[in-house]
Amino acid sequence: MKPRFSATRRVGNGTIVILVLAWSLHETGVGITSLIDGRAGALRMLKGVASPDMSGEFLGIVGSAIVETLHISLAALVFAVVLGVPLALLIAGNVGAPAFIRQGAVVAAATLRGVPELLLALVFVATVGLGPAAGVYAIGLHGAGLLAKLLSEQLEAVPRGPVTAIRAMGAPRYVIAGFGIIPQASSDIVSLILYQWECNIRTATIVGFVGGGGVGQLLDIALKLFRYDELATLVLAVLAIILAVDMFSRALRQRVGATVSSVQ
Amino acid sequence: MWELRGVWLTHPLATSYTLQNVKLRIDNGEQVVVLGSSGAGKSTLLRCLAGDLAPTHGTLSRNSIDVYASDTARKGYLNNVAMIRQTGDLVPRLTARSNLLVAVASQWRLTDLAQIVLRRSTRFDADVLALAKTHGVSHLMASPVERLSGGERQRIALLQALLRQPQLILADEPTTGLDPATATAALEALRAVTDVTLVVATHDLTVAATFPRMVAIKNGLVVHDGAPLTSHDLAELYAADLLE
Repeated sequence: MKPRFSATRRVGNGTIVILVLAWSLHETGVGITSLIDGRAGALRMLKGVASPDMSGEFLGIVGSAIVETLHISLAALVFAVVLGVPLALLIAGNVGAPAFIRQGAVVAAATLRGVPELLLALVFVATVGLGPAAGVYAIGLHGAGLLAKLLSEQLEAVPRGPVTAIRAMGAPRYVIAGFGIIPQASSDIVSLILYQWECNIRTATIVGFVGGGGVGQLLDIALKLFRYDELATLVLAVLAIILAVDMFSRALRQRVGATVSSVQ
Repeated sequence: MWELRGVWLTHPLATSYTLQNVKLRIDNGEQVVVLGSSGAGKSTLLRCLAGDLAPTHGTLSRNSIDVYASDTARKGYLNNVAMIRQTGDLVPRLTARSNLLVAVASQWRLTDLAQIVLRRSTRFDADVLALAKTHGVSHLMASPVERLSGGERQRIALLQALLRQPQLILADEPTTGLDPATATAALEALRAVTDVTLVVATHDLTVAATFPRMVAIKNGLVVHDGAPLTSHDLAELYAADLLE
């Protein structure tokens, strides 16, 4: 078989790729020197992290922030479900929504999930102000786009027989969706919604960095003021809540007998 | 009277004609069996009669009116036809009652449907219970269909069809997957329905032999239409195609 590119061209292309990579490494300043230069900061951080702030007063503040983070994740989940489920139904081919509405839903969902949560959070901080509401809107809208895509794929994957049978009875679309498609995909729908909640918890800890409320705001303050003992406590609290939600969600998903055991 | 005139039909998943120049006339109240091996075109013929697959060429008419003359004509036709597919077509995770509700959902307004689902209206349940009692399945109404036996699911599928009060019932392989006793009971229940025209597709010679009219189909062509063929004739017609 004739090679696709000549040897000279292959060497040329390889050189360009290597140059671009080397340029990126140089411009970003990564390398062993930067790590050695940062050793003092790393030691300071390690010293602080080794002795987390476990004072009652600070633990109380962390507890409130964790509760607020949970609130953000759940409120955002409500938004994501209310927006995402109808979009998924419009996108799923077996529901049979009119082509122009389906296309509109596809574009809307792609747009929502295409804009990163942090960018959305910045937009909402600028519009509704600092606080958890901005985080809820940002995470909820992004989650709606994600849920719409993942749920529509689950809806389309249900066995076709019952759906075809209902359609042949002359049933309207809402009957086909409500009685033929959703019941068959119900456990996977629950599973995906729970998975979205897990994602929301992780994101809710980050949006605080840009003013979206929750434990992220405390993390931001601790980092900026070099309070590493407080940072350690906060990181431990975040890990604990993420693990707890993961375990709770996994147990629930197993209970509903979902076939989607994990979604990446 | 239902009539297929010179029907050629290409199945959506096929590249060649699944039905070839089919001419068939079925009178009101007739009980017809369509016999053929797997892939012969039985299901396609039934779906064509059900108004689910439109003929590529030729016409399907009911009392000399073309079913595809207008959307209204087709909708009216669909409301008078019920198809019993293989039992896997019931919706899993729904109860037998909900599966029956699905069959008549298009006849209710959305608000009425919501009332029925929330059990705030007894109109639907009264009809269903009466019919279920006649067929001995009233105790199954609250059971999810995946927990029912093959015979019980077949009964629910029959009730789905009857609830729609159709003029024509089309049953596609209604005894597949059932043990002989259950299959006989299911078939008897189906044939006991009066005032309805019945067309049953099967590859089971024993089932086919009990019908007064047999339409034999091979490679999409109707090769026999009339009184049931003898085993000898069928053996000649299909060689080893049909399952005994």
